[in-house]
Amino acid sequence: MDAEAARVEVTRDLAAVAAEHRPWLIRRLALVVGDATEAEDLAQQTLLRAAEHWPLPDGSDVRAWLAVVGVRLAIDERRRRKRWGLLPIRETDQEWAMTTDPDLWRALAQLDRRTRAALVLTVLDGYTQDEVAEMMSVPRGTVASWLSRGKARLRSVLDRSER
Amino acid sequence: MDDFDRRLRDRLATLARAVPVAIQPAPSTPTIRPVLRPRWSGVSLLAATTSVILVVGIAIAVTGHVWQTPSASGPPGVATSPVSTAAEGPSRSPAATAILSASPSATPTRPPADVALPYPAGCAAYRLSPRRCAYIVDWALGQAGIDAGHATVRLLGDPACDGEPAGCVAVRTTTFVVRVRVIATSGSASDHPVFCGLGSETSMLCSDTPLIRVSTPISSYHDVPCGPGPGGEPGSRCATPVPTIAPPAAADADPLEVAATTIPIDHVGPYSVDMGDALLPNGILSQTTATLTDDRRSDVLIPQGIHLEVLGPDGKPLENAYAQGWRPGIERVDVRLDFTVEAFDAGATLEITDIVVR
Repeated sequence: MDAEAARVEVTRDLAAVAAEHRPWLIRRLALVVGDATEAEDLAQQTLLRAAEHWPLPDGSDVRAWLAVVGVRLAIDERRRRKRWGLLPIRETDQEWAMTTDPDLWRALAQLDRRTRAALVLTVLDGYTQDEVAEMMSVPRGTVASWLSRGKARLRSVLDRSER
Repeated sequence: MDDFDRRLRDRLATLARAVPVAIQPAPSTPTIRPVLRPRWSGVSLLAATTSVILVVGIAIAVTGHVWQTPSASGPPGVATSPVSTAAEGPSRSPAATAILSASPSATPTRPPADVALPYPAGCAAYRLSPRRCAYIVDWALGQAGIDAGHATVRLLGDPACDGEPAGCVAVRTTTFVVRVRVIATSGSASDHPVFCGLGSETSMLCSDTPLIRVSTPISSYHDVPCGPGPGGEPGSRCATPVPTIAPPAAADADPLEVAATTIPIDHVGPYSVDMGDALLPNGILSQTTATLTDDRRSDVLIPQGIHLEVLGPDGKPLENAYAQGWRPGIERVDVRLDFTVEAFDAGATLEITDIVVR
């Protein structure tokens, strides 16, 4: 296989990965950052990172790799904007969220991004606290603390809205 | 997993499913690229129109926006991608290289037409200043009827070049500027290409320094040469002769002559600046002039131009010498400058010189 054929194959492979993973990645990131548009942009950045590192090492879990990079980008973007005095990204009452589960959406908005990320990765995607700790480069106890605090806040909201 | 975790998982999953995910076009290569936040909050749209030739060649309604002061004139929310595209080492994969080669930083002059660049990062690829790019995007959002907070914006090339390799040359009688794709959070998308041609130089869609025209009543008067009428009778199509001025009326006349006046611009909307009055001999308007010192401006936007209005005793504008007709003696007229500012920078002024009404 010549270099051009290899390039085309890799590109096609990457396009397939993007098509498969982009939707769920946007959905996860929207819960983390509180904004579907920003989530879309972060997903694009994540897929670009994947393109730069493609092909991923043998045995890599593509889904987990994208989740880790996406969450890190989401958290870094918030820090970067704060550091450079850029306009904060608005986390608004988005229509799709307000028509689906406004109580949960507003409760999530009260949590910081790291806590939201930990909740999404553990509760929704089933990663263990150890795995999330490794993903986010923090001690396991820190993740446990985030989850404990986050769930405590969400519990009252869920209990109240399900009554 | 306890009961609370299950309930939380179910509700998070429901919420996640509700997230709108825009449908990606099906490009020949994946359009993965660094994306910046398309945020430009604080922009307000004002109803106004200007003539711009678009792809369908029709006049379109255009909206303007209030600019920030010069210190904050760029679109807010501009950010750089944490992903470097310019200084990567040789370890980059072939796919990444292929994709990045179409990024604005790699090919700043002409990206492939069907590659959707993010806003505002993609503005430079189309040689658009931040301000003009923001104006175009505002216009496109107005065309789509979508607020900035509910849409993602992408910039593309000439629609005639879709699917063509970079360097596609579309033969047109107008100049292509950029195509704005507005993607609503619902996933629906619409394209709004901007083409410029004759008559569009007063719009910021087509120029960083749009022309401000100054019109006067006389400048709208046109004579026609004599010629045979429909029935062939000679002279039936000659212009109506301008009435002659009686010497006593000429002696009593008092023209308005203003060497220069400076008008500070302090609000968006209509202006009507009183310039004084003039006494016309026999009510005959024979000369009107007004000159804008700098008529290609980036600090104030007046797409409809400045109109020197000459108002008769009845308060109605004198259209031209022919329509005005002849009056005995002298006739007092009021003179004013009318215009509508769509946007301006703080401190902007208009210097009008050589105002003459006689």
